[in-house]
Amino acid sequence: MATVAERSRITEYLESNVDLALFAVILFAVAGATVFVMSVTIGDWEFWVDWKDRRFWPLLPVAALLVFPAGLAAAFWSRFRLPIGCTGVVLLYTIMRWFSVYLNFHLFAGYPMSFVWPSIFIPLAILIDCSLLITRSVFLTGLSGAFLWGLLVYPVNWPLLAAFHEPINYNGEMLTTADLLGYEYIRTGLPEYIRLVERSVLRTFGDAVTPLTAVFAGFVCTLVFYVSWAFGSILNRQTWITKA
Amino acid sequence: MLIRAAALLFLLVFVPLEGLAHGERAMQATTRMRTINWYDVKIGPPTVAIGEVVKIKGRLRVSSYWPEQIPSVEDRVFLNVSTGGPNFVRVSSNIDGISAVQSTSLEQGKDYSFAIELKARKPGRFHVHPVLNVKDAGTLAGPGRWVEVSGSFDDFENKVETMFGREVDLERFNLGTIAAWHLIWIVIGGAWLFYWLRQRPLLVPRLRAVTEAENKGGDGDDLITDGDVKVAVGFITVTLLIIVAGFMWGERAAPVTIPLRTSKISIPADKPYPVSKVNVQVEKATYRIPGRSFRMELLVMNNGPATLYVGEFMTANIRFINPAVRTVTPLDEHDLIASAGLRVVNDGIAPGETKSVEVFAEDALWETQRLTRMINDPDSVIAGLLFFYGDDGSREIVEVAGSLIPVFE
Repeated sequence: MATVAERSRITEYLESNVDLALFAVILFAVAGATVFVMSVTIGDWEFWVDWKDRRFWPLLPVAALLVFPAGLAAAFWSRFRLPIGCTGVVLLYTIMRWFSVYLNFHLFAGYPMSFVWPSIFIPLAILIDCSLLITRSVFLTGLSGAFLWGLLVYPVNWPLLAAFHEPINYNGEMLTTADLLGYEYIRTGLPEYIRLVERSVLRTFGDAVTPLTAVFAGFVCTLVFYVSWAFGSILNRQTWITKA
Repeated sequence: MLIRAAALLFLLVFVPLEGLAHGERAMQATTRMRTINWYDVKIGPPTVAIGEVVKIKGRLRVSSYWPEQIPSVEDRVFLNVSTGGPNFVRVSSNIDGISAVQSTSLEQGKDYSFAIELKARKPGRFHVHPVLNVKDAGTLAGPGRWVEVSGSFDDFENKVETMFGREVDLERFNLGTIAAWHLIWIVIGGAWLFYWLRQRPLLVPRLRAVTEAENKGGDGDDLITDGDVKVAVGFITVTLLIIVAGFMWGERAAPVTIPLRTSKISIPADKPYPVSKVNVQVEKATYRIPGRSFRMELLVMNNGPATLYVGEFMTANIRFINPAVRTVTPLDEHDLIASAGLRVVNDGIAPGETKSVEVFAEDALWETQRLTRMINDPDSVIAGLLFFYGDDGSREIVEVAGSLIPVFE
């Protein structure tokens, strides 16, 4: 039986730490929603290694992923001046993604982890949160942090991805290791042609596909950041919560 | 309850189960009959050990009666295989001897040979089919066969060599690097969160301070200390340095890289259409529902040197065999063969002769393969391959098609 003093200490401890639980709940909810939305929209680019191309993968997943972190960043910044919305969501999203691909695609479906590893986005989130803190300006954060979010996704993932783009002579045809994984590990419902990846087109600027995509992704992400921030600010208004 | 759930999860995840059907029976009957005619398909051997090769080979004829509302093979197709997941790895595949690593296009009415080699990867019993993915249309499965794989998955390895002589095991390729980089960033991201979350209590006092500042006409930026800014500058600097270092490390580790391959494989367009020495015209086609009896009245013109007999009618992967002409038995319980399913009246067409022949295809497979559902389809045009066998050992293949009239009584 706890004494009055002990009960008081427990109460004090709970009161000072209950916000941590609240923070965790919010973060898990938003990160879970992000995993769901990413899975049903642009999930294939995010983990199949033979979808990680130079034109669409550095653009669409990064732009789509920014929506929820930027929205939550708006809430955490405007209410608490805490620059942790992006990093928190993306960190949890990454951990959930690892669980998801490990359980669903590796253990259950049987694909090697080399074929289905999640992309890295955490440093991009850190850049946004830190930009927000240093500039204390949504406008400048969009121009700097969100632009870097889109610009740097390729170099951030390159140390993981480069080896998968080494050429292989396979039955007289040149493939990347990533292509070979896609060919050898059978996906009956996901044929080669269904990948929305870079194809040779007349509008290619020489071989500068990646830098062009990166800069364009930067612009797109700046825009996505502003729009998501605006939505986050609107949804964060106290007018949505009425007193009983 | 928890134990049951855990047991179910264990069963689903760790115990190899049979790979079952692939949904082809759910497809509309008339579309199955008028898309890809797979024939002479051989899959084997039926039992292999881990790492051993299973070969699939045969021929496919693209129907000349392909439904116009279904996107055609003339855009883009991919020769694929269904094995209930990556229980095998595909070693090679080709169409007419041309490597089918990537997608290609075919032509309606033409006949193609194909071959696929698979290497057994996981133990279990799997139903193996060749399939053709047709862009914007879907997956069309060919005939399947059960293959039993023995051994242990631990014995499987899948090594290849890059063009720079580096040997890589695709099962575990680059996993250490992938895990290490993720761990580095999770630690750095966690450190950034920890820096803020270590302040206790966190949310309520900050909310109160920001609200009070805003009520006084200011903002809550006073909550940000110089120390916070210095830490943020440090995190940005470290993050950018690691990104640059990581990129340079990746460039050095793989100095020559190429983009993903997306070219389309070309099969020569001058490939001739199949020719036959027999000409067949469908005069009438009926399906008597109570008796599961399909009947065709055919006008057959034999332009060849041998007397011809109708030996087989094949539609939607079901083979109706005329036992008076040939003996074919199912290779396993899911081999869609009606060994005595074909009856022919007025059979035997002499060289140069033109005569009417009645063909009856009768078997429960009409029902079990849901082809009887054709009366529910918006169109009732059916098609299939008719195999004639000559008394000199020759074989003639003709695709026949016609409107089907159901008989309800």
